[in-house]
Amino acid sequence: MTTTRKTGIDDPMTELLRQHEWVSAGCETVLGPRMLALVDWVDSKVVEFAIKAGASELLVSRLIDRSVLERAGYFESFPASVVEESDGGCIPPATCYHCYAKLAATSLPEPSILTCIARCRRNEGKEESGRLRAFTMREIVFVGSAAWVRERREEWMARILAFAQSLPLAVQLDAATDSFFAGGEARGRKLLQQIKGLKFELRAQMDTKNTPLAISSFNLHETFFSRRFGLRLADGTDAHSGCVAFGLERWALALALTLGANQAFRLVEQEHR
Amino acid sequence: MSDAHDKLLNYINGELLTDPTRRAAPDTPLFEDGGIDSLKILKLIAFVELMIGRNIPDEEIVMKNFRTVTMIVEHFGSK
Repeated sequence: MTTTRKTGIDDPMTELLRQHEWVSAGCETVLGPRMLALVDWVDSKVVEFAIKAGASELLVSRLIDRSVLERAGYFESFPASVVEESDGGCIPPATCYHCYAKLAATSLPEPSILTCIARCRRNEGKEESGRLRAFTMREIVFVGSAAWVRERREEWMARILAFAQSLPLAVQLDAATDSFFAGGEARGRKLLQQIKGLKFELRAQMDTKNTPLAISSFNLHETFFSRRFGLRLADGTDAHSGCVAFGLERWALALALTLGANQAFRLVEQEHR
Repeated sequence: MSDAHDKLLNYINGELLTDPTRRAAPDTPLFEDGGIDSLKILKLIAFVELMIGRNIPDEEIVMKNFRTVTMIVEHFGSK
């Protein structure tokens, strides 16, 4: 009998497919119960970090009002990526928009940390392993002074890098820019984001063939959202905001491909013992 | 202060920072108070490219090279 030694990190993907835990169904990807449990496990870890850091958890609705996205300037930056489901109701392209709407026109007596989770959807052109059109995003949002928000962002980068490495995932933290900017000032916006270091991504190596895929991003918005939503500090000046986003299916996929599907699923099982 | 410093400061103060209360000196951080937006950064890069006689690849457009006029001149020199 010939035995085939498992080599490389392609085998875990085959294993996931064989167990029907990662199933392509047309344009969509369907996750099996053990992958879903892994998604929940990653989320529970992030929520634990967030609550320890003083975050308030918000329960948000499935759809977001189109007017919130318009107010946030979403359509100026990412035209055509939003999926509108009913009159005025859109599937959120990112979770954090719910937070700005909630804080709109409030005077912040002190810096705020919010967290929420939402099913999101974007019409993205790119097709690559792990890049889903519909995905679950947990976000932590900070609103406060410029220095305070920047400190929180640095703190979360260190915390999540250490967490990912402890699992262990093969990750790197890189400066990044949004790749979707379109229109005449697209290059300017991209370069401004780059020069100011507004966006970092935690990228995980999914397999040997593909470039690493972002599993989390750490963003500073300066006063972009606070001006649009009227978020002010107690002294009347515009607040700054920032957020940390977790693509939970990507985290689960990175774990399954790096550790092997069964080893990754054991993380969840150990928790329940 | 070099000729390159002067040229760059004149351009920034004359063309980019249209608010008269904002004036850049050689070591003023250029990107901290929102004076340079996404259109102005393109103009600034185009001006520096003209000054040094070469295109600047995106990878070189980072804070350590663009924080102040002095840092731009130190990194890119002049033609």
